[in-house]
Amino acid sequence: MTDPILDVHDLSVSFDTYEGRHDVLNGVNFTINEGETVALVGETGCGKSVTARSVMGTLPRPPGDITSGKIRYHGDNLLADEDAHEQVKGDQMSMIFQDPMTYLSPVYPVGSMMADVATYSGRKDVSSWEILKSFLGHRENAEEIRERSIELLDRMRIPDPEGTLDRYPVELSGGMRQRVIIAMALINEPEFLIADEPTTALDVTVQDQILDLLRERVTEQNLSMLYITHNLGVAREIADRICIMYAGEIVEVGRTEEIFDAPLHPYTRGLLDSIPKLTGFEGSGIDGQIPDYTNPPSGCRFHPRCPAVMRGTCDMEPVEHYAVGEDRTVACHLYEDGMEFEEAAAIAADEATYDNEEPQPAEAGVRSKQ
Amino acid sequence: MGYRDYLIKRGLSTIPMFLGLSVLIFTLARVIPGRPARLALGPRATDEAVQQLREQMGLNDPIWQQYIEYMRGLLQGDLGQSLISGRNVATDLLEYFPATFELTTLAMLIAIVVGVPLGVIAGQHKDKWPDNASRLFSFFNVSLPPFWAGILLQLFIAFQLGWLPATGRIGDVSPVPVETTGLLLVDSTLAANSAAFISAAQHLILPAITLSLAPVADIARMTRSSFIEEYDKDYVEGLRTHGIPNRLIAYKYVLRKSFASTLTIIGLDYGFLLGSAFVVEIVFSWPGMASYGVEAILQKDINAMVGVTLVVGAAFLIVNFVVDILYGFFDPRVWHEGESE
Repeated sequence: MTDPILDVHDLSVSFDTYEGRHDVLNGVNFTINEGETVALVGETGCGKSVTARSVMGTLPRPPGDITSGKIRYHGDNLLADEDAHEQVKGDQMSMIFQDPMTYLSPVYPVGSMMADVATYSGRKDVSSWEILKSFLGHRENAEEIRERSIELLDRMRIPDPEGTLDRYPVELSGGMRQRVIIAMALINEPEFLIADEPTTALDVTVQDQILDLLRERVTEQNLSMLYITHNLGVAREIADRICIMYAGEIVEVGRTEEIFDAPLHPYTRGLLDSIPKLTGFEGSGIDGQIPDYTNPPSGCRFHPRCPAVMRGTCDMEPVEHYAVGEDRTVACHLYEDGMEFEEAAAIAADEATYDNEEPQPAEAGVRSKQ
Repeated sequence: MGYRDYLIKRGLSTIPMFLGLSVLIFTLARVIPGRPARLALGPRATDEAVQQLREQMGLNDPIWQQYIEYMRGLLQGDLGQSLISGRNVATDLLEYFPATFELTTLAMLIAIVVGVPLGVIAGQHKDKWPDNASRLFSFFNVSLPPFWAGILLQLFIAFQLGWLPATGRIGDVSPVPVETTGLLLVDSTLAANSAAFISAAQHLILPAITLSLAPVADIARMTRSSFIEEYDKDYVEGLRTHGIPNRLIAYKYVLRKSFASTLTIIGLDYGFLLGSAFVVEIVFSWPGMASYGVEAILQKDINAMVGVTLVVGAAFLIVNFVVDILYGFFDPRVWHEGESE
């Protein structure tokens, strides 16, 4: 197997706030192979966007601080020196954002912004003269950039791509703006794309169109993508593999079908249970909230909410990532490293599904780690 | 609504504002206590002479009638006679206004050229030393009384170092520039008279710097705060994510968006400069309109008072109309149809 395009290893990030130090990411591990789409799924506040910003090199520091870990891109550690990010940013890596309403400058036509991304991306500095030229819309290869932009907008199925370039963002609908943002991210032909909930702010129908377009681009240009979402349904549509994140830790990784067919981690099961179905909402969701990051729970960070909690184990011993079967890891004391997949699935099936009752300490206490 | 419609709408709305202003000024000048005719003729004049002057000035007519009379004159360029100079106020203003206009405009240009980059640099380095230095500098500027700053500049730069002249508007140059606009820099440029241009510029520098101190501070602080607010916006993060150099983001994107509030301050400060220039004009013996206006108020020369105030008001309206034009340029959403957000 070839080296992964992105390898995030043991990434920990803290934030200094007035209430104290928040350990927001706690040893995050995942890899993305070439041409692969990996979805990072978790509820709001679990550290998905912090992960994306760390990879992209736009984490505000301070207050953020990367305390440990490596981010290897094609084998080079991006955290090793300051310039490493600048070199890949924009040119090889690109990002699309959650809210199309606020990620475009309101005072320039969208074409002007696209041209700037095409011209100045990855440049260290510009002279005042160039700023003036850019302001007045003069650039050497204006024609070529314009044609490239029109072609991209056309591929994003924007009607009247040429006219759209001269429009201001206020004149475009949310779906159109998101298409422009995706086009802008693709203008420098990156090979790796981070999508931070690009469809969350859109209507369901528009969301579907955007997902289709994005998938089309990914396959056609052989892009690798990290797709961040809180919506498992969206992740199922777009991702090859899924990483489930909880409170700054990756709790389960597996191929998309496998995650949906046989969720191992109790949190994953809870998430799947929480998806409303058209036939009526039967699941009960997960009680409680994401823990406080200044003083996270000891042991497994999920244990206070876990229906299968084992007192004496889950609240004491830190969890490790156990490889289960092939290409599947889970961070839960229910399982053991090197376990066969079938065995693990049996344990998972054996566990009580989420019900409305509180987890029963007595019952949980007799259960032991096999 | 297009940009042109927006401009026409804005332009037309200055007319009622000017009319309202003229009514207000005209009425105020006449209802405040004091007897202009008596003051003009002196304590020894007979009552008949005073009555006659009042009659001649139309002061015995009802105010509305006087106003209509005055406005009719205004349309023909007649602002009434000044009681002090004995000339028509329009003639006086034509002589004094260009000097003040040249001074305040240059002061404002200095304030913009210095204040805006200062604000941007402070905003980029929020709470670091450049920001603190700029804060200190602004604080110093605002708290320095202009007459004192002017005298200090005269002392050091004009007298001790002898680099620039201390007073007056132009030195002994020949040929003296022909008066076309009354703005010496413009006139001497039109006449290709470099000696006059240099002399006029040298005389302008010190008073213009003195006058620009307070607006520099205002503009720098306002630019800083709106810049910081705008710098937090999502699209800035987006541009940074795409690897766009910081300087381009700051000056092309953030500054343009945050410039609207700076423009507001510029418009307001310009009116303030026109009104407060007289201190500087007196210190630098600048033959401008502000000192003429102060004299008119002290002497209760009502026509001159109304004339000066109207010109200042009109200049203020025009400057703010220009500011409106620029608002539309800097932020197209101001005039754009389907405006959201």
